[in-house]
Amino acid sequence: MNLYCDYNSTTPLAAEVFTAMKPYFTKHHGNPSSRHQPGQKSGLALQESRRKVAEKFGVQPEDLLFTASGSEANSLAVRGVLSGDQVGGKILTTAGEHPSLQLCFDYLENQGKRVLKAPLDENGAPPADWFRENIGPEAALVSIMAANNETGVVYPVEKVAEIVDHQDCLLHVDAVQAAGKIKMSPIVQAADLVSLSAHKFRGPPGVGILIAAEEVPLTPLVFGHQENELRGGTENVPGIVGVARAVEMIAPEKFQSVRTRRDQLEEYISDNLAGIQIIGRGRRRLANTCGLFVNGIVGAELVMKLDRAGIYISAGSACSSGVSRSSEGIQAVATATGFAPDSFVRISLSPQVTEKKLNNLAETFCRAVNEMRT
Amino acid sequence: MTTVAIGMSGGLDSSVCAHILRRQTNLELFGFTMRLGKYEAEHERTCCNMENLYKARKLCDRLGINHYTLDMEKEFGNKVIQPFLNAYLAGETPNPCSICNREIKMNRLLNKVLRLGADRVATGHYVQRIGSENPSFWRGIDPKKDQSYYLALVNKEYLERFWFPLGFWKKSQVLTYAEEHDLAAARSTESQSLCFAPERDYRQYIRRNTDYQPEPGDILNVEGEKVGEHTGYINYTIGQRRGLGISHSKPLFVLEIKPSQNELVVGERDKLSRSSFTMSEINWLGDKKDECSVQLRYNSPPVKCWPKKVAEGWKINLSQPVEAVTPGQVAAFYAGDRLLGGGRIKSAPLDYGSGTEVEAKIKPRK
Repeated sequence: MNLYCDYNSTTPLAAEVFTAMKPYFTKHHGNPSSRHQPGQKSGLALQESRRKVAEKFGVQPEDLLFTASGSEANSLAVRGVLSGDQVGGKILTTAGEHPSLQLCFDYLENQGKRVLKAPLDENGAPPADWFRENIGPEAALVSIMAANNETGVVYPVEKVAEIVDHQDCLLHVDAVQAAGKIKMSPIVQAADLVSLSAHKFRGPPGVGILIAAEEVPLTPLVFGHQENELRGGTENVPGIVGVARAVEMIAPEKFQSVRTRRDQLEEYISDNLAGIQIIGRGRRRLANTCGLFVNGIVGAELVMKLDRAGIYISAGSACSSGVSRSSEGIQAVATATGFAPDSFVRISLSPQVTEKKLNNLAETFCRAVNEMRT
Repeated sequence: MTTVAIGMSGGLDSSVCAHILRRQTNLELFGFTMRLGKYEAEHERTCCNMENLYKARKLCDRLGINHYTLDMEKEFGNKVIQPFLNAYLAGETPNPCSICNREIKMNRLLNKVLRLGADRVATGHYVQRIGSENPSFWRGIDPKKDQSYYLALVNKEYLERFWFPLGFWKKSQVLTYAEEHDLAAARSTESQSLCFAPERDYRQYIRRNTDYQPEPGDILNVEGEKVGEHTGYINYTIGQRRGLGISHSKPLFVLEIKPSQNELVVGERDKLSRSSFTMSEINWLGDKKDECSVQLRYNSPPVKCWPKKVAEGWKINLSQPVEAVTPGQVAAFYAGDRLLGGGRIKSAPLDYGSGTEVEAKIKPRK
């Protein structure tokens, strides 16, 4: 078995993307800022890539910034708008955000900024009403993810956008996990800042995108002339060409078809295992994600046991050096549901998963859990 | 198909163990490394550092077997480090490696690995396992490397899950094998006692990791007269001669540590010997024995003895006097070279009938 069910952590590079990137490694290595032909060739590729991405998302090319990761796009969005004289400006966010934002907000809190976090319900989603109750004239920034990476639950971005609209406050949406899986246009239209990451939709790692309307004032994290002086550093031309090709290939309607498989998996697990809770079932979720608590096991150990069987899933925020610590979001849902935070695992299916492999996954998963429970 | 999990520290012995199993058997294998502390720069000199983990993973990659890192930090803190601190505060000299084998490696860690699907665990200990069903455990063939002493407290059922391929090897042979098979880079990593203390000094470790402030107190002689001052009772161990700061015609040795009175008792060498000592319990790997031999420290020669069950536990009568019998140390019982079991030394009372139960009155902080 070699069944990769950790699609949300990273996706395999699409062959077409690699093909598009290769010449910019092997042949066309010029610096886009140079005036000579090698530079011009790269510069043109950069410009074309930017136009392709802008067109796909319905924005202007000057509204896009290329970064080195989704996390960098997040940091740039938040610290970029909050540097300077946002004295007293409070930040509204949720308890389910990605560590690249959680840690950023922790830092800002230590610097004296007020950060308010919407609690999560037992489905792992923040209530939109919380934003209505807590926003006010002092709110400088609302930051909310489009879909949670661990549970797949889609957050109420459009409702929050309506609430923010009536205030003089910026809206940042971390769409890193959602891009490629759900329609982006409502999000891009509603938000002032949107973060994306190439390796989540079959592009290369090491490339992120920040969509930022031109009038949003941004202070750079990395200084330099590139990206309109908002993000310095010689451009990663092959990476940018790659993300553009990957963006072109995005098709959320096709992605939705994996929902059938995911639902089959959840039905099988629910029928065959007691003491489990799938988060967000019945709520709007990414079509490929099944995040669940499993009583009587430790998520990290179940991951390793399934690894031995050639099935690859994930558990909370584990990393290879053996340190596992549940995220704030999972801890919140664990408290709300009465499960142990470290009993959480996530199965995020590849859209290519076949019925046969899905059945194998379901059976092996249940068998492994039963073995670990004895 | 028997699945064997290989405990790998990144060090030489476990690397050779893994290599032997991979090359000489057709068993289903995977390697694992336990993580007991954080991989931070200040811990570089402890065993849990990234360099050692890297060596273990790299070797597994080279051998074509899976590798897993298993987090035991919390359990290690609760079951090894905390009792280690408490023992010193109670005036004992603990043996954390024996406790770690009993509570962590050959207990909780074993169970994690069994849940991953292993049937047996192989490690690089220098111990001979004789027999597959109902095994017995004997000193490793290399007397200078024998590690059987450290297994004396391990639960029998758990111990039976372990294989020790290096028990039949001498260290020199292991080194030769390592050179031949390009494993010698692991040589710089050898697990050591106090693996969790980068300073390798228990006094410094206690100073840095607890609220405990050593208080000076009195040193008494066997008549109960004050003969000097100590710098804090945890700085001393039974049989210690140096650092007493007392001038006397003959050398003086620590005979007893009394934490509740914050006193040390010292005396001349002849007072250091004991013909018996007590234990609360003995972990027998097989049947209890009325006559056997006992080893009271790692690397000290065993002495014939008669363990006797008494009301409060056990009394061990020794065939010849032994010096510096230390509460908290492990007494390991042998029949010849065969490990029979062991337990912790409770007390070795002096003739004048001291050696009462003591409690740690200062709680270490986390």
